[in-house]
Amino acid sequence: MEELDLLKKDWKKQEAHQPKLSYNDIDNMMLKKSSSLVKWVFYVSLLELGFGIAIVLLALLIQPDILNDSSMPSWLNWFFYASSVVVFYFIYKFFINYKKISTTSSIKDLMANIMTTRRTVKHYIMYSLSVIAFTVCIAIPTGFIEGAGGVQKFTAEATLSQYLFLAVGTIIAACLVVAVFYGVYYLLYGLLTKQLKKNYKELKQLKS
Amino acid sequence: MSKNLEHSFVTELERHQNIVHKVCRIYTSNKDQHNDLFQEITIQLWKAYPKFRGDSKFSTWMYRVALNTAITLYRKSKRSVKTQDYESVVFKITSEDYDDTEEEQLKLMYKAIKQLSDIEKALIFLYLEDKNYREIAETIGITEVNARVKMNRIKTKLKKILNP
Repeated sequence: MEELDLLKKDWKKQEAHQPKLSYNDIDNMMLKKSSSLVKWVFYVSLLELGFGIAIVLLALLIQPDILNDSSMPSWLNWFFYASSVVVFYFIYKFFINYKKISTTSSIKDLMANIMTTRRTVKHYIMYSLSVIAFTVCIAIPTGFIEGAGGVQKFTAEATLSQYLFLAVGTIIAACLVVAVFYGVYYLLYGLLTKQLKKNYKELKQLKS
Repeated sequence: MSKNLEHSFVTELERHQNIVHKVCRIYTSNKDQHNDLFQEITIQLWKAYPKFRGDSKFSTWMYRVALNTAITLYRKSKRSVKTQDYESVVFKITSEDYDDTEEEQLKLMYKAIKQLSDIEKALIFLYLEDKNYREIAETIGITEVNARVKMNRIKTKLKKILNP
């Protein structure tokens, strides 16, 4: 391609006209803060990972005896312990993946490592959303039935429309909570990695 | 990190700063963005420098970090949109040796390159830097064959942009 050869010649000549930074200019630049994507991915991920822990801590702070409450079914305690293990597994996976991110990798490997790190957090978010939905589905009927005077009174007096109201209300509330959390997550994740995803897709189309 | 390490890094970067400027030239469209990207590349190079073992030349190592920063890590700042587009400035300097037709052709070529994707720009950049297909493939993380195929596609794409 003739124009490309012409460009190559011009490219070489341009070296003489590039800006020249002094030793001190470069030295000062090193003190500045990075605004790299990886840094933002790291902060947003920490925020997302920390969210689950913050919710649990807040629950324990508001109601310290929640795990010893005799009115709570025992499987709820096991559910809480199992969830904690899962959260720590995700945090461990995140840090292992994060350490693999290196600017000296090939362009494709760097992108793949960032995507893997993000994917771990994405799975964590999906898990958290499921837990939130599950909690809402338990909490709303429990609160409603307690408000109506307990299980026995409710089952004795409740009409079909009350059952329907409770079921539909619970589903709508669960969907709303999940939609809000997913919306926040999508904004943070989607905006940050939109360009990266596009570039990675282009590279993946080329077989390595 | 020690003062010696810092001194050797700044000296090396000062000597090879042309590479970073050229990466900035391909991936940005004005002076502010150029300076922002240069700064980000400098920070990333400095972060990675302690792991630089000298197996490859400093300049070779720089290509990888600089391109990775420009393509994957750099987030364009929105504050720099209104400054002068520096293509016009550079052309005034470099066009002295050319006739009008060549100057016009070059102007169109640079504009066409700006329309390429980030990955395509990386290939063109390495091609302009006289890197062979093995080096291009290694830097990008694809096979040599695919680098050649992709390069041919880019040439066709550039032709189409220039002669719609």
